Amino acid sequence: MIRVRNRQSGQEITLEGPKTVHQLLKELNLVEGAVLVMRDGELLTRDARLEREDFVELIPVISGG
Amino acid sequence: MKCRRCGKRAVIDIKAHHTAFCRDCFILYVHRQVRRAIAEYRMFSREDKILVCVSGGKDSLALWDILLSLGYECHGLHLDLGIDGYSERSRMKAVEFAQKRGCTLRVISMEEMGIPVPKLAKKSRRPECSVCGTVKRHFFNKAALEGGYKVVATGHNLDDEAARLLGNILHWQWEYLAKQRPVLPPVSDLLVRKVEPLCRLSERESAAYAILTGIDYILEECPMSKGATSIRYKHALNILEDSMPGAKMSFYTGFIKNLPRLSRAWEDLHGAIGEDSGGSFSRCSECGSASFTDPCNFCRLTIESGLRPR
Repeated sequence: MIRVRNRQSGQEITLEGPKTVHQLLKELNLVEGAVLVMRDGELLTRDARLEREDFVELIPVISGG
Repeated sequence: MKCRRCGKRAVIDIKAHHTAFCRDCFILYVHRQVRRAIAEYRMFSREDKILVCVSGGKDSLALWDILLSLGYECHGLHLDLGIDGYSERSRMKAVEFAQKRGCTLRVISMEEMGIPVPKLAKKSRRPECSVCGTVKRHFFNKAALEGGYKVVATGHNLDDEAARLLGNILHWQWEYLAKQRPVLPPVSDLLVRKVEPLCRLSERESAAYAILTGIDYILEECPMSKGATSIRYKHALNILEDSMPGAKMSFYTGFIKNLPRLSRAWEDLHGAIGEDSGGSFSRCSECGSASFTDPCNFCRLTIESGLRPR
């Protein structure tokens, strides 16, 4: 399972793997402009492949006010 | 995905430009985009002393870092808005950045002046984000005039500006549309020039720059901005951008290109605006700031709330 943590909220979920970053965002109903995805301290492009044991972080980028 | 410039592994892909970059090439790309915005909109020159307004968030700290990297003389200004907990954490990020880079940072505390934003909003019965905007505009300009800065730079990015444009169009706010531009020229000795050098960079690019250059920014959202309409506009634009890459850029830059057509609306409202043109600005009889009205928006707010700055 891929562990996915939202760095802003601290919320963590697990998802079936493997899959690409693009597939992960689609599954979570997130648009690419709203978030960055990191693994092991490195930013990932949308074609990056996530393996079953991976731990990834989602970094929301939209701020308001 | 490979970096389009050097062929190394890419760390970010930018659909709007059909490209992807490794860390180093992305930093070059960001610097180039900011240089282009500064030149295209004639924001400032090498001789100008710039006051960068830093909140502790990704955009303003990234902007400060970029301008320093490009060799501009710029100092920081942080407004501690007096929002319980959040403001202290934001202030720390700005202070730590300044300490690490050895830069000058001025901090103005609303709490110490007796006008914290939540209290001002409550007492004046105005929305928090509107009060916050009035306070920021007032103190950014005041601090710039006091410090002898020619330019005030803010970290507004492409998403901020596209969302603002969408909001202004949805409600046909002609006056706001006429004023929306990446450079607001100075007005005699009353208002300093205001610029938005990140206007060609998306919010995602700005965040990626902060992360890739090791900037420690405040990730949490302002508790007062929950449910802000600007976030809804940004979400709508991001959905559009997902299926039409480049839509945000073309929406915003197309508007800026067509601004001269809107200048008539501005002139009708306030007289011509331009370098050293006073238009119909005058001085607020309470605080001496430039304003279309007397008293100015800031003084009206503090008078209404019964909280005058110390």
